[in-house]
Amino acid sequence: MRNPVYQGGGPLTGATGHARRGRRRTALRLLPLLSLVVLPAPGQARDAPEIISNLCIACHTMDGNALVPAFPKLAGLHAEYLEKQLADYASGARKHEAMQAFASDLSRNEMRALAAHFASQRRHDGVVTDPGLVERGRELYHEGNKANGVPACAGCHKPDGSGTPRSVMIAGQNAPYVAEQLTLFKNDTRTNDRGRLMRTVAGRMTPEEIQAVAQYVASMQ
Amino acid sequence: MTERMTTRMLLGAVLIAVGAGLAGAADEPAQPRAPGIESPGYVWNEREEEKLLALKAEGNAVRGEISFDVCQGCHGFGAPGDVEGYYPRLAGQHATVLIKQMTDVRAGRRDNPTEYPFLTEHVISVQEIADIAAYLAELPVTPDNGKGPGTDLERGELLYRNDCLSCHGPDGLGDAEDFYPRVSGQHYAYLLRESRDIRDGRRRNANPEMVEVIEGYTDDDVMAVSDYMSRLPLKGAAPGEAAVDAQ
Repeated sequence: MRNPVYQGGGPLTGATGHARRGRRRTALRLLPLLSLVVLPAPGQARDAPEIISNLCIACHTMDGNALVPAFPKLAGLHAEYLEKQLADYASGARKHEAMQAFASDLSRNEMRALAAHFASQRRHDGVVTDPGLVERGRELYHEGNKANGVPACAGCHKPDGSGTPRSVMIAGQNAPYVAEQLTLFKNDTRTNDRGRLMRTVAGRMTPEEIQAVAQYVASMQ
Repeated sequence: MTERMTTRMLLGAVLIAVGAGLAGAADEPAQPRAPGIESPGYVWNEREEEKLLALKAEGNAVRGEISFDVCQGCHGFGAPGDVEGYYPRLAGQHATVLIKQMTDVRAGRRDNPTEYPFLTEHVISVQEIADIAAYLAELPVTPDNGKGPGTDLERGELLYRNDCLSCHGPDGLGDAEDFYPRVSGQHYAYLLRESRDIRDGRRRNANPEMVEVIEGYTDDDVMAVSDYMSRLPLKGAAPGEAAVDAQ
């Protein structure tokens, strides 16, 4: 059977090199049109503010500085991190019923737009709810605990908590959220960490150490 | 009788609760175990598999600094290690030695379940092993390493000159080509622990020639020579200093 895609243009069809180039150029110009036909229509493309005011605002607020301490602040986090988390929620790699429902509704471009929006917002200072734990948390954050092999958080998340594209910014994050996530890592419930690193670290931490670090992280500016 | 049964039931309940608690915790990646010095036919520093690949790879110090982030939570910024010797100083160590140790831990020839989860192939690639080694080898060595008690330095020097100098060099700089580690600038507590482990067969990727040399050492001998090594002056063509000079 004849190949239905290949429509000639070989050296034996008689076309000159110039004509072949011209045909190729036309084909290139038609490529964007082709993508319109091939790709599934994502519906009306929505921009970040529109999505946020519909889906995210109630828990995360418009600028991503969640007021309810159980919800994470998104303002100022690395866009790469935010986009990965949205994709992981959608795929179920990070488990959260409500977030899976919201994220499944987003196209990859919308995830990217949301990530860029929240990444560009200014983070407000965090709230420390148990000041008595901050000093212990500071020590753990910067020194780790040699006795149980907990590394200093500062190694990956940086001494000022600003993080890197692959280790989330944690300065000023809400303490209850941080404690919850560390506990989920510890219990093997949150499993979308790189190479099991956070499951290993949190698994070595005591519940007291988790609470102390969460308070210190919230105090970081 | 009933009392004993109650006690047993209580004990059982506690055991189940403890078991459930452990089962609920995240399992760390478990270090594999490869044959080492305890196994017949052991060949020291066999250059094969990942070790060979990492040694052949061209290490990039700039990329290595980025990849080192998962290591510096323990080894510290600039890899000074810690004075108590939990974590060795890596700054200024030969790249070949670092590659050997990383790949030996990864393969399970050097036992280190604490470090292993940070060194799996899901965290660090073979290229990154070479990059990290290149980065660390260029870092300067500072004289603030942990020192021994200084009580038996004469014996330490004598032992070092007789038994260690021919491989590790008069200034303790080791030899990159021969995979002999630099020992100057290292923390006393770490030198002490590793020397003992090598003597007693616990460091399973050790060089049998070295084991033979220090097999007869008493604990006091190991202490004295570790103390002496921790006080070796930081001079000569140290990798770190050479790299700094070249800039």
